[in-house]
Amino acid sequence: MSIVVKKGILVDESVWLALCLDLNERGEEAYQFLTAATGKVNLYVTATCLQDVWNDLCHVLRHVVTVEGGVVDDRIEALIASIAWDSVAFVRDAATVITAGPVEAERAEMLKDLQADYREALLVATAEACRASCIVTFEDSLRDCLPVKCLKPLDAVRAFGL
Amino acid sequence: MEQITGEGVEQAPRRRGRPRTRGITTQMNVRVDKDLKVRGDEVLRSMGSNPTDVISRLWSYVVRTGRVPDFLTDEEREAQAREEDRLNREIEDARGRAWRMLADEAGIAEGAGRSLSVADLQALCTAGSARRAKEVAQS
Repeated sequence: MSIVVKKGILVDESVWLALCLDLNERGEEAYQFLTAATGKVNLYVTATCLQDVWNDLCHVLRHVVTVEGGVVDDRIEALIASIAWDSVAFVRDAATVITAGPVEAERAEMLKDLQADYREALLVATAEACRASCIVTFEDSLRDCLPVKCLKPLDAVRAFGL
Repeated sequence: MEQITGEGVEQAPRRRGRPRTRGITTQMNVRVDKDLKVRGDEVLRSMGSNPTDVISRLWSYVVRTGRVPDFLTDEEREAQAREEDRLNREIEDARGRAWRMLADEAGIAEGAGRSLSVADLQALCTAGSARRAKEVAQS
């Protein structure tokens, strides 16, 4: 019996959101990455990211209902919340939830010259703490950020031979 | 859970120098599901065998070959494959589920949300708005 240590990949909110919303521009890429990575690498997600998925899904769904001529009444609000809860449950099932503590918070401050956005600096610090091989994201601003390599989903598939 | 124990301990005579272990038996305590033990014992008894015999043979095999029998790793692989299948079904199901649910419950056309541009999405999202604000500030 051999012990195989899998690589870890931290998956950013933009990828989860692209899959859950199946966006024309990004949905397929997010889907291909997640199905290719499942079982081959350990996927991580931050607790903050889960919160963002929940909030942003609610914003987007309310917007679309309104644009399509619907009314966001109590019933639709409850439906939207239920969709957001389901999506968070899915992400939590597909990935291991990691959290940032005081050490990561301090480390994020040290990264301010590399990443001006504190939220993203904290994401990088958390990725470092869980020894993730990379962060998978659609965000250009995050991809430029060192010291953790940041890749688009399909670039990660190629880079790790998934 | 119930304990499987060996057939007792034989005390080796005390000797000087390096202790001898070959030929001396020792006891193993293993916790297994009670029902599983009863059913397993029945099968072994019907074959004229017992837990001690089976465990001794398993340990001999591991020592002789340096590996565990194939059926153990096969089970592990099968369990892993089943878990991967389950997760892939979850991913498939989660993909665009929001629009299917909105279509079913609120009559919103499924294609409406999928055609959102990335720029629209970022404008709508809290984190996206923060990024855009930063980009504007940097420009």
